[in-house]
Amino acid sequence: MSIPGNFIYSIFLFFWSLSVFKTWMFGDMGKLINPRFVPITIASAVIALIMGAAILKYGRHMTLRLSVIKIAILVIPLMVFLGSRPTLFAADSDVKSTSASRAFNPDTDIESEPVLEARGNDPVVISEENYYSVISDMFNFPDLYAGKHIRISGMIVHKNHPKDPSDCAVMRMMMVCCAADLVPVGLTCRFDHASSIPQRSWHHIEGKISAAVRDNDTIPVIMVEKMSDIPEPKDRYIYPL
Amino acid sequence: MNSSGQFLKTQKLPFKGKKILLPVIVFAFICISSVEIQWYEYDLEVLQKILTVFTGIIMQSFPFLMAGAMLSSAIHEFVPDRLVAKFFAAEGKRTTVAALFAAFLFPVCDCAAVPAAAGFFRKKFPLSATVMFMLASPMINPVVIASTWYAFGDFRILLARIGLGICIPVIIGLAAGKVFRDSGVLKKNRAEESSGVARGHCGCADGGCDHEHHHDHGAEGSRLSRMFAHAGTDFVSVLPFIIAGAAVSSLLQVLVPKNTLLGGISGVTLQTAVMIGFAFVLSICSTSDAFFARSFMSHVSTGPALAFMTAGPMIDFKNTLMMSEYFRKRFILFIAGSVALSVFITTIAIQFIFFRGL
Repeated sequence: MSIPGNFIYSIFLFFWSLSVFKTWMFGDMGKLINPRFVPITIASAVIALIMGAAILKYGRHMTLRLSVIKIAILVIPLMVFLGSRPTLFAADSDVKSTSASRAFNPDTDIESEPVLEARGNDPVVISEENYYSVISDMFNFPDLYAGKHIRISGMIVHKNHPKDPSDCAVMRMMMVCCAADLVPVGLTCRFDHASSIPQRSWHHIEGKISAAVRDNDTIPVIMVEKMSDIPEPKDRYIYPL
Repeated sequence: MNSSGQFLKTQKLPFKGKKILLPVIVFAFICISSVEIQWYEYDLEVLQKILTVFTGIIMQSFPFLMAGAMLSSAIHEFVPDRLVAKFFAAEGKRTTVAALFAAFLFPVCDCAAVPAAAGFFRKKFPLSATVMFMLASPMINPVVIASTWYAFGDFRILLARIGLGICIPVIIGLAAGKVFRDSGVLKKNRAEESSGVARGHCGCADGGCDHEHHHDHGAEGSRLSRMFAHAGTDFVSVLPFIIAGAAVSSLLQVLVPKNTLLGGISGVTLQTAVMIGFAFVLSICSTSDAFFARSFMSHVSTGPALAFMTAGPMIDFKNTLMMSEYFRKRFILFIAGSVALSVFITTIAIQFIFFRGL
């Protein structure tokens, strides 16, 4: 059996385009990449089709320069793309891994508009738009926020081995580029019945911010006053950029 | 195409993969269907996470890899050799500035930089300038600068990253220019593509060609058609390396407890070495690695975090595999070794000079 080289190249380009379109049409693109990349990814799938057509039409004398191993490597992920659907990531149980877990530099000052607004407001309202910038600022300057009220929504996550049973965390997963760089971002919450809240359930929380010392760091902690169930948002992730 | 304007008989090559492809396809289907089987909840979750990270990396690399292949191909087709010879004939300040300026204007990650650099090499751009472009473009483009600022909000870290993103590529580029001046860096088959004797994929380079056709990239038609055809083959040729890199990266990202590992490491020197190793195996995109580095800050000092953000964009597992498609082994080892060493030394120095105690 012999297959023309240009045909193999075109087939692969066609199926790779198809897998991108399939992911997009099934609404799974947001689970894999930041929405800002979706238009260029779709555009690249269209370009891949054009490339495939150009190779098929004009590349009749092309030599196939793909070894069997390379072909196998190309086939497997295509089957994953076409045969399965991506999952949504929940926040890790290890709350310590939050990206805003330590104020590493006292000189840090991201004086963006949401941060300046949050510093001046009481209550501090955390939305999807200001989620990362304000929480990051709270970790950098916990004393500036101590005593203020806060409103925040997110997923409740319990630590694997909490030092205090009344502790849990409210968090969201943050995606910058793709699923590979997802990191949990959130705040520690404290209230009496923390352990009774189901893991990874979605809640709206209102409370008062206090500055607590943990592992030689001063971190912001929400002293919960009010908590209510909310439905899981349509888009579980937040996007800082 | 022959003299009468008709396409000659299509060249067919023996395709020996079908015997191996069948078990591969069966294996892949078993993998996929296992996702649907409710084994233990934990195992299912981990497998799904690995697959999601894996597909996420590939999906995100897709447009950038294509941009690199298109740029490489466009240069190949549309930039005349005499123009390169006229403006970039000699290594010097002008080519250094031009390389860094191009790196700044090319807002992509290393997925695009490697095929683009291969295109520059093929077109006989100066070696040092091309190395500078390849190493600097994932570091100093506006998207990376913005994400670093947003993640850290600290001018000193931002300036340190930009400074390293300029100084290290310039030093390594100049050194590569001296070391590889006479030997060349492209693999034999890739170098032949630009030789004018055996351009393209037509197989004439192997001596097995007895037909008569237009000898320009193995593809016929207009320059634009050839550009698309050439970029397409480049794209498909490099894609397996991205896939292999993504597979290893996704396994390590989900299975290796990074923060737990880092929690037990003390001392800036050891932390820096480990962070360079992490940067290599995790293969995080340069546009998002600042946020990743920020998440490590609860366990490591600023210098090691900077090492992570500097080494990763220049050399990681994914782009090393990709480089192996284009470049000679000696050149790849030179780049990897010099990047690791220079990042190790400079970031430790920066830690002790500017970030002592942080």
